[in-house]
Order: sequence, then structure tokens, then C-alpha cells
Amino acid sequence: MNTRKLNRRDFLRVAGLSGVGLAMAACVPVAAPTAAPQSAAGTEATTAPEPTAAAAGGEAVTIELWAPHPLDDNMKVTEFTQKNFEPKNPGVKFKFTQIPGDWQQKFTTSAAGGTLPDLFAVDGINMPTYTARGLTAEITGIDPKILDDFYPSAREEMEYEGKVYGSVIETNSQAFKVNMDMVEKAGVKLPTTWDELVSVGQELTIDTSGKKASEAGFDPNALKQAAFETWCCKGEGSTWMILSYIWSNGGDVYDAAKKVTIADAPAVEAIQWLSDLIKKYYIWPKSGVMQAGPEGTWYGQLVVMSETGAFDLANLTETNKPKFKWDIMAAPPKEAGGKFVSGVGGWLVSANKAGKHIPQSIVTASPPMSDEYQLQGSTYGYAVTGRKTIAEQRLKDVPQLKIFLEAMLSGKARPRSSEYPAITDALQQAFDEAIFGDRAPQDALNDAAKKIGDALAKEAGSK
Amino acid sequence: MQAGLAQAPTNIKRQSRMASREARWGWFFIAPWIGGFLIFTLIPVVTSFLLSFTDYELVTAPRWVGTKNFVDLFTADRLFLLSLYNTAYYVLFSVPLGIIGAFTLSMLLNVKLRGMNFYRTVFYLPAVTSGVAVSLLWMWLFNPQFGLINYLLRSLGLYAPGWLVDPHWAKPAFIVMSLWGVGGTAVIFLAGLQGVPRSLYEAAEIDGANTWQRFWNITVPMMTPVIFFNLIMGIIGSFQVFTQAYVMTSGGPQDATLFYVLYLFRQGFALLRMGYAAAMAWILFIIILILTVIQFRLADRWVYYEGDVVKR
Repeated sequence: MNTRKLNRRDFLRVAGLSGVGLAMAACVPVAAPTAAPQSAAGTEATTAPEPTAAAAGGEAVTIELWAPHPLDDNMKVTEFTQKNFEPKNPGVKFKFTQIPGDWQQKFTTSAAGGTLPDLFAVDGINMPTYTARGLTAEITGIDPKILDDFYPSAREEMEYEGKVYGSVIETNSQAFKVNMDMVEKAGVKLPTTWDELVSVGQELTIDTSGKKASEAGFDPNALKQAAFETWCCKGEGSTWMILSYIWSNGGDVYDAAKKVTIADAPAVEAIQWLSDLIKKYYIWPKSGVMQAGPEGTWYGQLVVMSETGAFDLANLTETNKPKFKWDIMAAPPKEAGGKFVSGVGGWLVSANKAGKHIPQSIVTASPPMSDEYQLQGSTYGYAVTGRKTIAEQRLKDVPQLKIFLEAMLSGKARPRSSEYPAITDALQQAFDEAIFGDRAPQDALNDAAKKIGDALAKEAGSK
Repeated sequence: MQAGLAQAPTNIKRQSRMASREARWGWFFIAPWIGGFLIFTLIPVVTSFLLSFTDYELVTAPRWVGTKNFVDLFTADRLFLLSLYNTAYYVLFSVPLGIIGAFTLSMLLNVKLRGMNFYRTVFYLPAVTSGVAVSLLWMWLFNPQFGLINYLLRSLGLYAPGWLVDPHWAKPAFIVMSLWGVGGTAVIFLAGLQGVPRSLYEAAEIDGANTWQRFWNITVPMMTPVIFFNLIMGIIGSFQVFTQAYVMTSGGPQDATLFYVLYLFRQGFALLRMGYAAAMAWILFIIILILTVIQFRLADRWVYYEGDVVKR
């Protein structure tokens, strides 16, 4: 028997070589999604899947869904699938797991490690990013009538390059929740244009000495009550909210030919106007002069008009009813007779292209589009679930939904680019610097334009 | 003599076998640590170094880009330099304040007083409290309108800033908050204080030294190794400030609290630029390494070890 002693030098040599070898091995993607494994049945997602194929072998497969939301609490997904889906698909069992904490981090590390479940929730804005990188399977076999029933903006979020990769579980458009007690007390009418938003806003904005924003001697650094607020300027909600003002002013991030237009005049004007709401008209409180108490600025009656999404109806009508008179107001267009182009966006369910049970996953990803689920999700979650006919059925119970549904019709999805993370990051930076910060909108948007141009060039290069 | 010579190879052989057996057992016992070190430290470190030269989106295979990430960081990323500035600002103020605060606290905790163990436990508690919970607590304390800090400032007739929502006050707010954790450092100082020989104080007292002289000429010199240790650990820890900014401000307002590791995290997980984030991690490592080497070089000038008398 060879009992050769391993001296320190030998050990270090072996350990070092092993370490480097393992490190090199670790650099090779574990489950490169671009080379996604075929399903056991060898079925590609381009053909209509056979959900009960697994059942032929007598074993039901369990399809697990991961999402950051408490979908069992607010939309009762497990109850729904047990009642409506599993009896019709005996080969498939459904399991929902809520993933708490930082979803993005957990999702991407799971994707890198090849441990994503068969189904996962995807924020609609990220779907092109994930699909272009081979994470999501095409969802086929959808009744065209159902697809056509989706609001165009919601359908836009489900699709990438003309194919469906996710089904909407919840989507949103924008409007304002308004403290009507404060509006009536001020004796003003709700604004219907941007100019009116400023003039009415100045009547509703009051400093601690009781002076209105329109009056001489008004102190914008000592606000008692402000007229306006929207989401700005960091976080995806900011891109969602602020882009709508650029769209409503005729601007966009880039045009159909993917030429970047974010630093063009319409976008610059819109950002300048938003910046003026803070620095010139004082109706939107700058940072530091007014911060929410435990109940928030709007619930705390510090802000009169607060921009929000349809999801907020659950709070307003059910879980956190305001103690004052309130209403929903459509976001005003720039000019009378014009349209405010709302941002539309929400969450989807997508099937894992590298999953073990692709056909069953695709079938299980489809139920959220069904009449039954759309109605249930909308009812329990007070959400817009994407389909027009179903959403309209909810109007009799939740009349405030009407304005959000109208906004769905004229709204649009954010840029459908596989490099969206870089695009939204550039936009948020520019919005923050120009609206709350001291940079000129043109300069800030020029910076964003360059970054977005680089992102689009990368996207073009990867195809 | 001859018999002794003949015996020698046998003894050497036996000793060699014994040494070999001991070595095998030695390797066996340290194998778990070596395995853990390789898997959880060495391989990730080597991998991150290699990844820093790639365009790696986490969900796709890495693509070699050479030094592009490093070049971009220094030439095309304004926020990189801003995050570095924010972090350096935080380190510059929070580390000295933390050391002075902890040292002062440890002096108080070293006083012979009834129930002192209770006080020691209370001051140490923040060090073992979850960073997220602490952050949420401080968000309430810093609230401009109903926060306790501004309530006290107003009641004293002082200016009550916007703290976390005001770009000028956000970094100072984090520095103030960093003092919350001085209990952990204070315990190390306390251990050091209790190791200072009583005989030195007694000798000084006989020589007529007053309290301040005893503190300045005995306590401080004897504590310099502990100060040095806490200074190094403080700088390393402060350069990695993350949780507070992640939970409380997400880097705002207007990037005033965009600390280095937060920006690194955002690059890696929000923008899927893990290669870029890895390059940032290595730059941070080099910055910390340089600062640590400088501190060790300077230590000879002010850190006093009892055994160092020979050097003088």
C-alpha cells in the first residue's frame, strides 16, 4: 500500500489545482437557459400541449408556482385551481409558494442555479428580458377570442415578438385618488387639463401660515397641505408614473425604428413641467418639507390628489377605508379634448422553459386567462386582471373602477425591450436628477438617452 | 555505539510512521474546514475575480470582455464615483465617532456599580439585533414629523431636519445611526480595559498622577492595540455599509445614500450586470486592502504593545 506522506507543499499544490479547477467549472453556467432541456415527452412549446400526458403513466405531476405576492390570500389561487383546474387535468397538481423578501434577487439566483419552479410570476416589464434569455416558454393553445378580449396594453405585456409568454394575473392603470372633503372645502373643481392642475393645485396648496401657493408670501418650505403627488423618482413605480406624462406630451423613450427620443422636446417639456410643479408652482412638495406620518401623506390628509393604480381600490374600498370623502379622478390630459396616456403594467405567470414538465406547466399557466379566474382574481384582489369583458362585470360592485378601465383603453406598456433593466435605470436616474434634483431636464435626459442607446445597441447585437 | 547506530534507522522509521499517521488524522479533522473554505470562500473569490472580466447577466453564460468593466467604472460611471464618495464620507465620520463613542461607553461600563452586568447587556443588545429591524426602528426615530429625534430638537428650540428625505441630512442621519451599534465595540474595549494591570495605576497614583494623567498616560497607551483592532475592523465594516441604506432610503434622496455596496448590489441583481458588480467588489477589496496596509504601516508610530519596550 502506498502510504506516501502528503507534505504541505503537495497539499497546497493539490488544493490550489482543485480550487482553480472547481472555480473554472463554476464559471460554466449550471443550467444555461439558452440550451433549455426538452421536456420528457420532447414536446416543444410551439405545439399545443397535452396536459394529461403525464397522467397516462398514472402519476400526477405537481406544478409549482412561485410568486412574491400572497396569491392565496388575495386571489385564492390554490382554491381556484383545486376547484376549476385539477378536476379537468387529472395529471396535474398545483402548488403555490409565496417567496418573501427580495423577489428579484431570489428569482435571478434561482434562474442562475437552474432551480426555478415550473411556473413563476414575472413583472410584465421584465418578461422580454427573461424571454430573450431563454427563461420563459411560449404559451400556446390559447383561444384567440380570449386573447382578443385583453386590453391591448395588457396583451402587450403578455407578448414578446408576437408570441405569448405569460398570462396576466393582475394589471394596473393610473388615476388619482382625491380627498373630496379638502376639494369641497377649497371650493374648487377637479382639474381637467395640466394648466388647471396647476391653478387648482395652487388653491389647494397651503403653507403653515394659511397662505395659498398662489398668494404672495407663500412659504414652500413650510407646507401644511399640498395638492399633488405622484411616484418619483426611484423604483420601477417611478418609471411607470412619469413615463405617462412624457407619452401624454407626445414623447416616448424610443420610436418604432428604435431611435432614442427620450431627450427630444416633448419628453424634456414634460419633465420640465413636472419639475415646475415642485420648484415653480409648489403644488408637489419637494423632499424634506413634508413626509408621511404612519398613515401616509394622502390618508394623513397632507396631500389632496395622489396618483395611484387600480390595485389601490382594494385598500380604498375594503382594507383601509379613508375616514374622509374620496373619489377617483382621471389623470388630466395636457389639453382639453386630449388624452392622458396611462402607463399599464402588472404581473404575469410564465412557464419555465428549462422546467421538468413543460407541457403541464404551459397548461397550468393558462388558467389565469380564463373567465372564471379573471372574475375571481378581480373580485378577491380588486385588481384589473386584463380582460375587458370580465373587468367591466366588476363595475357594478366597484364603480370607481370605471376611470381605471378607461385609462386601460388609452394606456400603453413600458418599453418592450430585452434590455429594459438598463433602460428603466437610466430613466429613473434622469427623472430623479431633473424633477427633484437640480439638473436641467435636457442634460439629465441626454445622459439617459446615451445609456438607452447603449442598451438598445446591446439588444440589437444579441439578436 | 554500534548498536546505537543500528537502532537509529528503526527509531526514525517508527517516528516517521507515527508522524504520517498523525498527519492523516490531522488532515481528517481539518477536512471539513478545508472543504468549507474551498467551497464557500476560495472558489467564490476566484470565480468573482474571473467574472469581473466578463459580461455576466446571471441567467446567461458569462462573456469575456477583458478590462472593460474596470475601464467603464472609472471613465463612464458617474454613480460609481458618487457611491465611493458617499461611502468614504460615511467611513470618515462613523468610524472615529464609533471608536470614541465605544471607548467612552466602555469606560462607563468599567465602573464598579451595582447592576453593571444589566447595563452591559443592554448596551450590547443592539449589536445582536437584526439590521432590518434596527433600520425600521430608526426610520421612525428619524421621521421629520412625528419622530422622537425631531420632537426633542423642536422641544429644545433647535432646527429639525428632514433627515432621510433631505439630501443634505441623509448621510449624517446614517452616521448618527451607526452609533447605535457601539455596544459591540465597547465590549471589546471593556475586555481591553480590564486587562490593563492595576499596578500601573497604583504606581502612577504614588507618583501623584491625577485622573486625566492616568487616563492619558496609562489607559490610552495600553488600549492602543484594541483601538487599532477596532479601527481596522471599523473601516472594513463601514466600507461595506448596506442594510440600512437598502431598507431605509434605497440610496436616495437624490443618491445621497447610494453607498458602494448598495450600488454594487443594484448592478448585480437589478440590472443583471454581475460581471460589473464583481469588478466593483474587487475594487472595494483593493481599497480596503490598501487602507489596511497603510494602517499597519502607521501602527508602529502609535500602537503600544507591552513587549515592545525593546524597540525603544
